[in-house]
Amino acid sequence: MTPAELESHLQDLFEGRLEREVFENLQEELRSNPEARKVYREYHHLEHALRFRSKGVDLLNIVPMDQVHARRQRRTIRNAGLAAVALVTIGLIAMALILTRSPTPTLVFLTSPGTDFKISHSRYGEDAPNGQVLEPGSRMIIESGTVKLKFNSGVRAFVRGPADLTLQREDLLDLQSGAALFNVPEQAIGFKVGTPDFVLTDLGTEFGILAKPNFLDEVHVFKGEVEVAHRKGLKKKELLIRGQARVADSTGKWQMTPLRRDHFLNKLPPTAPQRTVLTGVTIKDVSSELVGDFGVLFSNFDRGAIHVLDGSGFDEALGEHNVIPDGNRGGGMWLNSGTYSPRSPDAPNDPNAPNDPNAPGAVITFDLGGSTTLHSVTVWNYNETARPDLVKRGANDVEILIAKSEGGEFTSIGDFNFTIAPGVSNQNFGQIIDLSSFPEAGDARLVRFNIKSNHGGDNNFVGLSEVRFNITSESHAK
Amino acid sequence: MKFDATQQAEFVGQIARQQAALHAYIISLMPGIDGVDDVLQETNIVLWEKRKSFEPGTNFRAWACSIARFKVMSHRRKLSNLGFQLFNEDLTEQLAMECEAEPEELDGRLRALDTCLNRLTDSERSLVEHRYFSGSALEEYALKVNRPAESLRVSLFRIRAALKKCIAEKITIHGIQS
Repeated sequence: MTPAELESHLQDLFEGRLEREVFENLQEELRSNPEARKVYREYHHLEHALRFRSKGVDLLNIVPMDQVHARRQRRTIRNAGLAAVALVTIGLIAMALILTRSPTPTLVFLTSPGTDFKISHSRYGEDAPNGQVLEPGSRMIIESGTVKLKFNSGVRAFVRGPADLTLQREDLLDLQSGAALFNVPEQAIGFKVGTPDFVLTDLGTEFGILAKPNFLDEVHVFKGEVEVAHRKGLKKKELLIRGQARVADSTGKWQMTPLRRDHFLNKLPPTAPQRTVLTGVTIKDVSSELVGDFGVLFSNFDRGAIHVLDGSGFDEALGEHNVIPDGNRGGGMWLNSGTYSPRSPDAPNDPNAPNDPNAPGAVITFDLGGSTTLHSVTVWNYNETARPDLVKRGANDVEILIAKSEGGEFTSIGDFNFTIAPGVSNQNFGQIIDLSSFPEAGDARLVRFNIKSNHGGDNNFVGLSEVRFNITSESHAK
Repeated sequence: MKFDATQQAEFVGQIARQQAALHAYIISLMPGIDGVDDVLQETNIVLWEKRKSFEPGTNFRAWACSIARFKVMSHRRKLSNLGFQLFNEDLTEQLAMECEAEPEELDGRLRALDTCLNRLTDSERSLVEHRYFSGSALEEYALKVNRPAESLRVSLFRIRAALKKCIAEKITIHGIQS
């Protein structure tokens, strides 16, 4: 093997693209030739130096916590403490750098009244941070409300719940979900925020990030410049300046989106948000509903879509719904027609036999009555118990879509799982689905449930007991 | 044995100081194989888990490298079962960098690399940064700069050879001067 061939093969080796026959020859050459091994080591050092250098701020190989956790899960966790240990390790490695230069907390935070949050630290016991403090490795989950983050570096952020964030380093925040506005002073330029879809590097600016579970993350730049690098697919990078906003699409590219300041708060609300139920909601359309008289054995069904809004069979104050599906019998739920066909001796081939055109599945659309900033929707699933299995007719996998106006185009905000009803009448089983982090919910007129499956119920029936749309003092009806 | 806060900080400092050495050692055991960062992270986790079994005063780097080696071998077995081509274990042992590199030596190489990178033209430097920083395919970069991917591969070959030579010269000069 000539020296030139050796160098070429070694480079291909480190590139991972060496062909099998050449691989065998190279192996033999390295085994028998000390000079070849010397060249190998030189290329090895170069490869190490280039790759290690490329880590830049990630010099200590601090990986996102979720990756560590996921990796552990794949390898069959030996005990629950391992993940915590991993977090401790990572947190402490980062902390080692910070301890020597920063005696003050890395980050302190303030909350708005009524904020519901929880924190876990990578350090525990006597070493755990005290007070409203986050240190590298600390994770904060905000169920509701708003939190102001004050970094020792001068970075300020307002994070609106629901949100899930982890402080990885003084200059690196991992925002798994939530809407956050960041202000980065000159001395903290280079501050980074990671979301599931991208990594943003600040270049001295004010910007907002929307990180949404199971959906595309967004960045909105209000001052200065940021660089955003997509984590997925083509991994496109883009430099964004004031007034620009982008959505990280699923292929790894960036798509333009309107700049929206109203998604972000720039101060803590002085009072706790009061959640109130939106009134005046109506049914815009429904793919089918089981209403009518279909024969002697199957008669007087009253399971129209209107029953999810009219409060029939429902105790609004307690959030309890009874187990009777028909409005004309003291209850009131919506059930679509599924692929049901009556088998009455009187009407074996009833031309009016109900059948949902969307079965299996169903579609129901609500009209909020005007442009609305929605906080959440509460759903009570189908709760019929004449047979134990009837609650399985309840909606399961549901795509929620929102349109800005009557006749406007619907935008999907993702799929949600509706919890099966308990089949009892003395329990509040309302399931709150938070929509506040979705920009589309900020300007909603129509809300559509595209119900894709039930919980295993018969005849592809799909139903719901009750639905309520909620607004708050932070997200009021317009 | 209680592991107090001071000991924890010292231990973490030890791990931090050996990151470059561990990274280099791991690459030497698995050239051209994906997963170096994963193995390094796994090694860090095991180091922390076993922190109480480390005897202060003994060679931390040797101990850390023995754990890294164990992790690499485990990774190699998995890849071997999946049909990846790997050097024989005896050759791997022959080639493996002895785990004795001082952090200062590795730092010296990194500094030399920085100097040598500064000698590249903008387009050469951009190509290297794409290859090692972005992690995306060379074909994508080829489209961006309107050059055939194969031509970029040839350029990368030439640049790496030049960088290797340059670093070797810098290290030699530094060795003579020090």
